[in-house]
Amino acid sequence: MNFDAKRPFRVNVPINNGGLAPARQKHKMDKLKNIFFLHAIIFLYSLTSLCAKFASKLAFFSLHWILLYGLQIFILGIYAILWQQVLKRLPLNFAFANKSLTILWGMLFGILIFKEIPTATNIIGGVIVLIGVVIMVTAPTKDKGDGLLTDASIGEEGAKHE
Amino acid sequence: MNKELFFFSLILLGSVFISSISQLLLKKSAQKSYPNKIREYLNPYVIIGYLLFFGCTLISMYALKVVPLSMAPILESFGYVFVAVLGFFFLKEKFTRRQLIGSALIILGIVVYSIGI
Repeated sequence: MNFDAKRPFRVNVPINNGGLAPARQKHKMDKLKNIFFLHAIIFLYSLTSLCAKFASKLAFFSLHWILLYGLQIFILGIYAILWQQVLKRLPLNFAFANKSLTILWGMLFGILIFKEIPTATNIIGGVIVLIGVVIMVTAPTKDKGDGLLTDASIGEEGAKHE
Repeated sequence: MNKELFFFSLILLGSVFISSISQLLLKKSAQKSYPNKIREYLNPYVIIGYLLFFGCTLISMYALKVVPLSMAPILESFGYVFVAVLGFFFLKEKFTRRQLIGSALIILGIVVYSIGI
């Protein structure tokens, strides 16, 4: 008989089955969280060049310029603090390479707000740059693994600073 | 590309280079361990890094007087090349063949982008 007098109603859940799996799943979630965090910051960063472009059209040190530049610095300040947290969790090369998405944001803002119509060579050149950046993202970094957010690269970077 | 745009593009590239140096300083700082959160942000690496970064915002804005907004991120992509080179020399990160190919494509892409503007 398996009866345990001290815990008569205990439901027997296999203990060992999940020892590894939930940990991995959590790790995957952490990875996704880090990437989402990274891209939210990248979008925020794109907004700063929008502010800068607006401000560049104004007389430097005029009231409106100061307000716009202030807004840009404010966003940059938030970005900078968050970015430093990202650098702890992700390799510099990887984080920096993902910033290539600012190319798309920049083009989108340029077209929608400043009516900058891209030429054929603009688009081809932009695509070549993006491909170049993607090749760099997938290139191995100094961290072990393939550079594409392997467990090793995140685990090490993350663990170092816990 | 007209002379004025070329000149202002060079200014933006200079700014990108300086900001890559600031990235390097931040990474240097992030690699160290500090006794507390305040020290993590207030140390020479981070302070100089952000001062450079701050200067870059003004230089970049000056460049944006002429450089179109959609072109700015293209030129800023040169930062990857700068960072890879700086990482190689100062962080002992490997500069692999793929990074070499990537860098070449980024430079080629910028050249192609610049054709006819």
